[in-house]
Amino acid sequence: MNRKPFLLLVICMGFLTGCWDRVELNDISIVTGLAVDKGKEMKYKLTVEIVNASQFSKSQMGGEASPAITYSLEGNSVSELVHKMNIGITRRLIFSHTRVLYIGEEVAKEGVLEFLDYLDRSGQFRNDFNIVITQGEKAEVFTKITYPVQKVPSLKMHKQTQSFIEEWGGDPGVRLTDFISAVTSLGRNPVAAAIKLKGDPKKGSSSENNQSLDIESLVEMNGMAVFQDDKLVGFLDLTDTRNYYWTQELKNTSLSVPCAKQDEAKSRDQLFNDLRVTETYTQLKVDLKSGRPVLKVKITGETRIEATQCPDDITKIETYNKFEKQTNEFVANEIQKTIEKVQEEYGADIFGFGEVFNRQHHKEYKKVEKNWDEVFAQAEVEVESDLHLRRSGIRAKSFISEIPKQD
Amino acid sequence: MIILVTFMFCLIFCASIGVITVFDLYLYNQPLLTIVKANVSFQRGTSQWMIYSVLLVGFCYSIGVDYRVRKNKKTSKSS
Amino acid sequence: MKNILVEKLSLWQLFILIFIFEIGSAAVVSTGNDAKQDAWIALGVAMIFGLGIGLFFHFLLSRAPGKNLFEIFQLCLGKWMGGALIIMYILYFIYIASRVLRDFCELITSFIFEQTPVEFVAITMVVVIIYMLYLGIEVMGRTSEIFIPYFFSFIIIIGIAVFISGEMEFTNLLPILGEGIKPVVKAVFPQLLTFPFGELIAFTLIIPYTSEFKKSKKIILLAVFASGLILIYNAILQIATLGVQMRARSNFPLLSSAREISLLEFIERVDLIVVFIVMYGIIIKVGVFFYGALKGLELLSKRPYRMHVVPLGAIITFLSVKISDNFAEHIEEGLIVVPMFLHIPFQFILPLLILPILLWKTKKSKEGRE
Repeated sequence: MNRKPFLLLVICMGFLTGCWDRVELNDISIVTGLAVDKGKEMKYKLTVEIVNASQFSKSQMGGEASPAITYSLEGNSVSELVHKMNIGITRRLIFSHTRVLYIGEEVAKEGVLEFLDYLDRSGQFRNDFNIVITQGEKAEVFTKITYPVQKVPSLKMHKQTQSFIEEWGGDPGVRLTDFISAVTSLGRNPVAAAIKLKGDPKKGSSSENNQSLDIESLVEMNGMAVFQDDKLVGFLDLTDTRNYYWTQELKNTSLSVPCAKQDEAKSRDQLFNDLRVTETYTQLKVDLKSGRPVLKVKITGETRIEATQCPDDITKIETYNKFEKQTNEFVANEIQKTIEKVQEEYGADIFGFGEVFNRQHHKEYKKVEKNWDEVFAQAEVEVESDLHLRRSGIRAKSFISEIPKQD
Repeated sequence: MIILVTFMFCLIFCASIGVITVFDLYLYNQPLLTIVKANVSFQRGTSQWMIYSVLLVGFCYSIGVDYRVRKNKKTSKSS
Repeated sequence: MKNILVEKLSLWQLFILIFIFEIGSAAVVSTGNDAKQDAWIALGVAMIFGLGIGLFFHFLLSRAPGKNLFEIFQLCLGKWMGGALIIMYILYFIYIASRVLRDFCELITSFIFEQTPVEFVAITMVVVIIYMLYLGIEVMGRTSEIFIPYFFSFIIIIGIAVFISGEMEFTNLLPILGEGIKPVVKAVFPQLLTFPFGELIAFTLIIPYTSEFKKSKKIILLAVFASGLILIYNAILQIATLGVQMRARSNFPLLSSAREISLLEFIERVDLIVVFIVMYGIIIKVGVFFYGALKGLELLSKRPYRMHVVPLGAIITFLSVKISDNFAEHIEEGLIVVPMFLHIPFQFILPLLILPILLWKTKKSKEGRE
């Protein structure tokens, strides 16, 4: 008679557990970095960087074992390689915590779409890893450079880019979906961060690298890579990267603006104002001037003086106005230069002006959609900067202005 | 008058904008219109949206107060 | 006017409010820089004038017992003229309240929270003040009663701690009156006269509500005297610690001098207690001006001032940010424009103009009664 609830319980056990996909912790290895290179015989060479989890437990800190292990295989597709990794590795690989995807320069030049599809399609990858293009060395080298504070190379890389974006902004801040939507959009070309290696790659791969003060090999941010569709066409340096990021979603950065006349003298002889940009907002616009598109960038925001080398009296309004004007001219000029450089050298619209144009003047955009990059390369650029200088720290006048002058 | 709180809010607000405009006119040698615009306009890219939303809250509150006062008067009259 | 509450402030609370009000921001921003190393003398001279100012305001109020300044205006000038004058005073109070608030926000964003936007600091401060005033001026008095021991002892302790740390150079105070009396006079008039002491005008809206009006005269004098002494003490402390040049270059000299404290190698980095002093001083100062404006609105709109607290608070927040585009403008406005166009007319000229009318009116009414 009382068999009914019993039966229900048994049925529930079957449906509520979901142990089909269960994975035990001691059966998996967590992958933090992926590096894709061109293979010698086959299409790709994939390197995975696996965290050695025992290195993170407090009780065994400072043990002998290395913080991470890397392993490489060659094959024709990334997805196959991912599942073949157990050729040399004991456990199943888990990719949901991937932090960085390194792409070798050679692969990037030939196009990245073919393997990005797997990352995009697979449910395992999240949209929170950095995409970086490696300059100089092969991509796999970068998964092997340790760093004393953050021993796992990819975790270090991830943290580094994050801090860099927040502090100065010399990284385009590109994620997988950004990249793919830029590839598919006709009005925008993708970019990715670029990194390079300083020092000897061999020395960096052993944990002895962590024992010297002046680290012998170090991964450095080196601006960004510009793509035309999905093919790498060139690189931009750090300042240009910051300027590029400023047209997108920059929050903080620092500037040193010459406070004397700009034309004469080398930068070594000049005096500078050190400014911190605390908040900015950028508006992109494309206007039509006699049928031709004009690219417009408008920057607004707040800055503060962090230091000044100039003898002007900062307690005066005129000085603030003067500095504000200089800053605005400087910023507008910088960004104008970057945009024109991209127009001339690469002719690839990485700023997304095409998308803006589409939204604003849909019909006109449709006419030039197919060859938007050429139109972009010849378009006029107008940059307007409206940064407000707010405050100057805890001192009023600078002591520089109070040093008695001897004539 | 029924809408006294709201009215006062608007009056004081406009008048105080006037005051700071006059001072700015004295300090900067710029045309009146630019200064008024700078004082009233919302500068994007800064955190000034916060004070605008506070202003909105103040305005809504004053309308609410007026409404309540009016309702109280009506009920007290009818009773 | 039925539902307007009559509030009573005890004499001790009045004393505390005036004391904190005077010290509030004057202790923190650099005052009397024109007098250089004699800034403390200038403060002393200003204090003596301050006593006179306090007497004058009290005299004005005593002519019409139970009435505050705005009611006196209406009494003297009639409904419309008085109303116009009251609106001007409301604007003056709001403007000064926003200025004081901005001072504090600048300090916070320059010293401690460098990433936090000024707007947010302003909003959080105003929320506290709104809450305080919504509960009434009595609450402000009682809160101050709680905080005064800390407030007072912190100010004293900072000086002693700096002294023990060996950072004071009393030779910085020399030469006394080296350039004669001129720089002192220049510092006193108009800046020092108006900035901490002339602002007592806001208390003409509070003094009538004290429990014993007759005794309040002594209390006012005592409070002005005590706060003057503390300001002098502060000025000496700052000059001796930082030196004249450094003090003039500092936007907030008291904070800079507190940074010099390093006692026994473990009492260090105590500048946060200065921030406490400033914060409470600013709350009281903004609160008192705010209250003055509210009283005016109450009189004009015949609604209890509690209804106006939130809208007016929103305006003060807005103004405190919009008042000036940058710090230089804020300072220049404070040094040049505000004393000449706001402080002097509103603190001295208008009350002085009102006085004869008031005397005439009260005389007439007294005669009529007799």
